[in-house]
Amino acid sequence: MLIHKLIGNIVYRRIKECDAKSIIEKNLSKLESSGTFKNRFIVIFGANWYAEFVMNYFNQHNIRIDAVIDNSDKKCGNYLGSVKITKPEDVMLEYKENALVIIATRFASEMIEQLKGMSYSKRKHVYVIKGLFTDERKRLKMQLFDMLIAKLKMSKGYYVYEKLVRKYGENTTFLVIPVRGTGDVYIVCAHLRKYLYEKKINNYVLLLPTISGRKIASCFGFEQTEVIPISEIVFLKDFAGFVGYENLNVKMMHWAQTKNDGIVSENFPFSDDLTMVDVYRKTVFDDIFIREKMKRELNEPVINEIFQKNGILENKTVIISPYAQTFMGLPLKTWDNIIIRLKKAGYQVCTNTGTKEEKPLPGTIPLYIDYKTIIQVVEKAGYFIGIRSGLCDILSEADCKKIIIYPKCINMENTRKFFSIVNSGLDRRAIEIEYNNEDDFEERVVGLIVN
Amino acid sequence: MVRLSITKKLLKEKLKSACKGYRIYRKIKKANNIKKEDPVIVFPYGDKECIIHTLTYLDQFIDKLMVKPTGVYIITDIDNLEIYTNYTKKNKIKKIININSIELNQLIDYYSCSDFFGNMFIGSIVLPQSRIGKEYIGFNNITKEDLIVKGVLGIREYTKASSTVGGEKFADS
Repeated sequence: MLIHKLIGNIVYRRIKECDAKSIIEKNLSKLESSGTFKNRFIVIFGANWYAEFVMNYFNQHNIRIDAVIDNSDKKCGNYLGSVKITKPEDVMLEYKENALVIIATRFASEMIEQLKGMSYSKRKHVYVIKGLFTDERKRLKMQLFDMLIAKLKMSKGYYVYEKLVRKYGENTTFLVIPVRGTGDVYIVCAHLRKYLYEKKINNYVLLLPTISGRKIASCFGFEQTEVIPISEIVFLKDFAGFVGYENLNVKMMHWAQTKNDGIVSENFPFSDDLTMVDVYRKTVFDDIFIREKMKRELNEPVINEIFQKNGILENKTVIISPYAQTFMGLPLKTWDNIIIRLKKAGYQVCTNTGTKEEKPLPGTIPLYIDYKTIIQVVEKAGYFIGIRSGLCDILSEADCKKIIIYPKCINMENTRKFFSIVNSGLDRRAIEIEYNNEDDFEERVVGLIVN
Repeated sequence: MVRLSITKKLLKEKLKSACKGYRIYRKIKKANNIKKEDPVIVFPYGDKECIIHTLTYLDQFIDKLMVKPTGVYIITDIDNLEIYTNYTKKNKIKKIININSIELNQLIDYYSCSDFFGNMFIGSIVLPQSRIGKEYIGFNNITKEDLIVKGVLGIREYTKASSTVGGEKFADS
């Protein structure tokens, strides 16, 4: 039992470490604290999904990226954030002593060889993000223990299931939301009631990995909830997918049912005219898809207090939400220009900060608003500008002017389609714009608010 | 309502099957000297359309791989798969390895629980059992071909083939 627990914890750790965003942030903050970025010509090599996290980190810490390079002809000419993607030779061929090339891809060794060919040294000029990929040799070694690890994981998943069944009984259906995303929790909860009714599920528990997720569920009146660690949810998900959902009282409320389902989880949804809502509708809700809105507490005094306490003006305040999980943030300079212009036009500007790490934008009033009142607060403020995040799903219910920004990212066309609030039918009135690094971007955003 | 004891028994059986699948896969890899960059496509019995579309887009599938393989290996429980593979370009398919249905299910069980499957593809839209891609067919004009090419083979942007392998021959057989 003890050995099982010990090895289980190792597997746990590995799953925790699978959070690419936090791995990248950890790597880069170490470099930043040691002063590595000072006076360097910073280059991102490989314009992939991970490079967006790298770019996001630099944007948030106001550190300039000098170039983004990629060997793919298709990617060159596009933008990663505000930086144009170019061929490695175009930037690196002219030797730069102070170059620092950051690599976050599986093909680091090939890239290092390419850089060596242009006289750069691995030790002096290259930093490969550590812990993101298991290298090939390690991977092959791990393959020898493949079945041992699989057995442990499945047993762990079973114990999570057993614990739940013993607590809630064999007649309980466990509805699992296996992701932390606010938007995912919102979409599930908004469509859950009718589904439960049609499927005749009365005795259920909603399992969520975060307290904020539970709060959203509560806004829809779902109180039979339990927060369990994401690692346990991952074990349960893998176990349930392996044994077969039809053999358990588990219903996975997410479109990627298991890690090896291939079709749904990685390849398909992003490549067609599907939105996230469509994908939920088809794969989770069996087309039983009637939307319900969040319960609004008529809490006028609380909302008035928020306005008075922070000195916010009704119908003349713009609430900015600059942070998101999936999409990159905008450069601070861009936000600065937007804020200055809004203030000039007579608007008050607030930053919605969800956590302590999310710092308010300079020159704005910081606001921490509970999910229960956020719709009313934004409606009373009158205006919202935000990077596409889960908050935009919640605010799709709000009756006010909303501008949702989609920063340029890899595979932009399909990603934007997939997450679009307007295309998915969640909110037809929202204005969705792409951050394209054009000079008039700030003016365009403010123009949409003012006019 | 599913009893815990039954679930536990089921898990044991599935793990046992996956272990056998693991041994089968290692044996096949060793016997055929399959390199780590060579894709292995598993075709379970019963989905002819999936086989045809996979073979039709085999070239585009190989093109999108970062490390070019020496060839593609196919593992199947279908006796006469050659009637389809004979229509693909020569040398693309290195070998067809026949195993029985029980072994094939064990292999899929191994695939379902394992972590390290960079180069194994299950040529089906219903197996492993948690695959739910078929729900999309018909929605937004999504075809089975789209689902197989994009979903199973992972070719996000593909050029539609003018005809499938074997042309009319397998169209409605």
